[in-house]
Amino acid sequence: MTKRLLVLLISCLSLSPFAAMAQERQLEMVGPVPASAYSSAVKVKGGTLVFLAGIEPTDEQGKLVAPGDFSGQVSQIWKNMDKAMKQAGGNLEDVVSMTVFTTERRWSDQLTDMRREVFKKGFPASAFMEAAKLPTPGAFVEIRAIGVIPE
Amino acid sequence: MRMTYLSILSMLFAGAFAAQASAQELKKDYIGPMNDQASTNIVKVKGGTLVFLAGHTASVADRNAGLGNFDAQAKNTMDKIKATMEKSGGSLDDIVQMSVYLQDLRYEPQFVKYAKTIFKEGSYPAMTFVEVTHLARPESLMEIQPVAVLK
Repeated sequence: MTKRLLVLLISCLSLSPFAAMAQERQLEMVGPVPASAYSSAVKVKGGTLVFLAGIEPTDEQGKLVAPGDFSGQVSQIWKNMDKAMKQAGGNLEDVVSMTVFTTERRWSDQLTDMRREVFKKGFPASAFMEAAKLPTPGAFVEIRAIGVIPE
Repeated sequence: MRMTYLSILSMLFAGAFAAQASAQELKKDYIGPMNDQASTNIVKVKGGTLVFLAGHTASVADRNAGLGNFDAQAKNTMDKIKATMEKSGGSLDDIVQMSVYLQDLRYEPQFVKYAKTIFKEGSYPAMTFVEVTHLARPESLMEIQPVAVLK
C-alpha cells in the first residue's frame, strides 16, 4: 500500500516539471543563412508573443534621428526595438521575425552586418524590401517585428 | 486508504486540467497606446489561437467596375477582413498587428480616421504603414495584412 502511494507521489512530482516545461519558451532556428544574418524559419513553442508596431528611426518625441545616415538610423531602430521589447518583459534578442522596409534596397548588406552585431543567440526570420516612402519624412528604414519572450 | 488514493488521483487530474486551461487562456496587454495614430506600440499576448491573414484588398464582383475612392476601398477592405475574421471564429477586435500598404502615404490620416471608427480606443492593433510603388491591381489604393489572436 505505501509502495503504491509512493509511486503515485513520484509520478505526481515527475509530472509537474513537464507541465511547467510545456509553457516554457522553446526556440529553434531552422535553416540559418549566416551570410545574410537571418533564419529561414524560427520554430516557437510556448512563451508570450509580442507584436510591435512598425519601428522608425525616431526619438521619444517622434523626431527623426540620424538624417541621411542609414547605419545611424538602424542603430536607433535597434534601440527603440530593445526598449519596446524590455517594456514587454524581454529584450531585442527575443525578436523571432522581422520585415525590413527600406527606401533603397542597396542598403541590404549594411542591414545584414548590423543585424549580425545585435543578434548573438540566433537570427530572426526576416524579409527585406524596398518601400516607396515611409511615414516619417527622411526615414530610410522602418522595421516591423514579432517577438516571443520566455515567460 | 482507498479514499486517500482517490483524492490524490482527483487532485492530479484537477491539477492537469487547471494547467491545460491556463495554457489556453488568452491574456492580452496593450502597452504604449498611440490613440492619435489608431495604433498601439506593443501588443503582448499569452495563450489563444493565432490567425495569420493574407493581404486583403478592395474588390467588387464585377471585375470591370471601379474600386472607388480611398474611403470606399478602406471600407471594402476592412469589411472583407471582418468577414475573414468571422469565418475564423473571431472579430476585428482580435487583430493584434496590422500592416497597411498604401499606394500613397498621404492617405494615412484618412485611414487612421476610419480605423478609429472600427477599432476600440486603447486596444488598437500594432500598426505599420508603408507606401509601396505597386499593388496587385493598378487601381488598388491599399492592401492590408493582419495577424490576430482568438480566445
